[in-house]
Amino acid sequence: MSNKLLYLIIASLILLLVSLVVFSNLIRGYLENKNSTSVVSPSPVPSGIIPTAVILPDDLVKGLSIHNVPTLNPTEGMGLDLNSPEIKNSIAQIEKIKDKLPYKKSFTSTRGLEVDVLIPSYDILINKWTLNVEVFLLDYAISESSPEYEKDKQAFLEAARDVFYWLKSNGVNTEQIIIQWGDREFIQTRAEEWLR
Amino acid sequence: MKRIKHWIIIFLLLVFVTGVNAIETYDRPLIDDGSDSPGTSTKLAEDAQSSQETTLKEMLEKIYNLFSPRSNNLKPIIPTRSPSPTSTVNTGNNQNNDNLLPTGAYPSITYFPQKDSTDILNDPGLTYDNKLVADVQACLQNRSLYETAERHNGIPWVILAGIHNTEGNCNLNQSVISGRKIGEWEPDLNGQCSTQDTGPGKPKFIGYTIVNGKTVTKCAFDNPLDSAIYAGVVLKRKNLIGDGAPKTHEELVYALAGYNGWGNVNCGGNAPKYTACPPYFKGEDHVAPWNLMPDNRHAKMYKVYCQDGIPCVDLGLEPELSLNMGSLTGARIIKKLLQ
Repeated sequence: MSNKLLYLIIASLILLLVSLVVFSNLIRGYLENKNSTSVVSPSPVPSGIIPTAVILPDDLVKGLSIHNVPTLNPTEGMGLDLNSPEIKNSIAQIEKIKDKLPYKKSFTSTRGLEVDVLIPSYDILINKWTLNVEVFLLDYAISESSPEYEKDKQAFLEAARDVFYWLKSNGVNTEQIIIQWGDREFIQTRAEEWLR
Repeated sequence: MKRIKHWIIIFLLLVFVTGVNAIETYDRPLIDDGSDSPGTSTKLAEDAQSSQETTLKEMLEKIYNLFSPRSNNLKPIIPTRSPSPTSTVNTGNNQNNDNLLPTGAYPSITYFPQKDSTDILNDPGLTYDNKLVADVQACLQNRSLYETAERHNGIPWVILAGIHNTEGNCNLNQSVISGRKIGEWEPDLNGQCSTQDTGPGKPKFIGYTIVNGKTVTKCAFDNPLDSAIYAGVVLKRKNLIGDGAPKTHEELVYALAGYNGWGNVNCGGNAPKYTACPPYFKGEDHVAPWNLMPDNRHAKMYKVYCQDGIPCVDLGLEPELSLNMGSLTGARIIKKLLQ
């Protein structure tokens, strides 16, 4: 074998090696980039616990807030407009499940919290256009900096998901039903925040 | 010689073309499902794309691993939209409550039995000190108001009085529901009022306000009776164990705990100095019904929250002893005074 041929083979091999390294880096960069955009970023959780994000399906509309209901024109009165389509639609949706209430469920969340869910009987709902949903045993006033925060939030979302699936399985249009989470302002506010 | 050169060039070209093709395929958009609506894809198309992505990703990873000197490479994680598993204790609804209580965390309800099925307060014959007795005298004076409310909502009047005592010292200028001043905005009412919806126990419209850029309806009670009727219905909504007005002691305790909010239970690390853990049943360690009860479990209970929404531990403080009489404690004293 001539020297010329030997040099050529060595040069080719070096070129091949460089190409492979460049190609390898290209793939790595691509995979890392794909990673950073597709992974659901976990919120801080206590050490030793694998984060599991609860994702409510996009097509599962999370109920209507009472704050979306139009208010009366001052010439007609004050407060909620009970003749508005929002109120009428919600009444129609609640009618679909009135005979199936109360709805009760107790479970242990994926992070180990006990949770009780209650949708009370029709006759004790706050009114005929609002579905009260109670998710008990959780701490809604918990600080975001608490190591237990994510546990409570996740347990609530698991309960909410169960409620929405139950409503859907009973033919309720969750876009049209007005839901009130609890009877205390701090519960309502935190629940709606967690559902966003 | 010439032939070898050709082979080397062909090989390099092949490597380059394969690499470019792999990356281009990996980044391919969703398969068109043929529907008219833009930007949509069928389940089939999504599955096909998912399968294609997985295969290509595995292929690229294998190639990368082949040449990467590091072994701890990052593996892409595909987020899932499917529900995470939940261990269900009870999937039933309606009246199937057999396995709601007790649970593993609650030893047995037989530790705290209800002696008289008609007495949901379940007072074991405790003796209450004079200070506590004096504090509920105002509640007795409002008896007719609570009795009227009882006729509307079915909640025994002594329980309504006990709640009012905890929330507002049975002061008629303060609502039963929260202890806020009568006529003042009750944010807990969540804007649920209208001049088109009136009657006993209905809150009244008092104005609008802007909260976070949204118009919010402000509701209030303009008399204590309506607030008492409303409070009783709220209590009924908290009865998970039964349905409506509590019929047993446990139902009552559970409902009273839920009325206040479950963040104030003393066990579970919330109040390290509270020693009567675990609770005998759900709510048996909650400060709102039980505080100052002169027994060996509830005489000293703790406020988990030192300020609204701020747990004492977040302020670097030990949970403080609560000085507010529990609603069950108040109701028991009132009932005892009647005997």
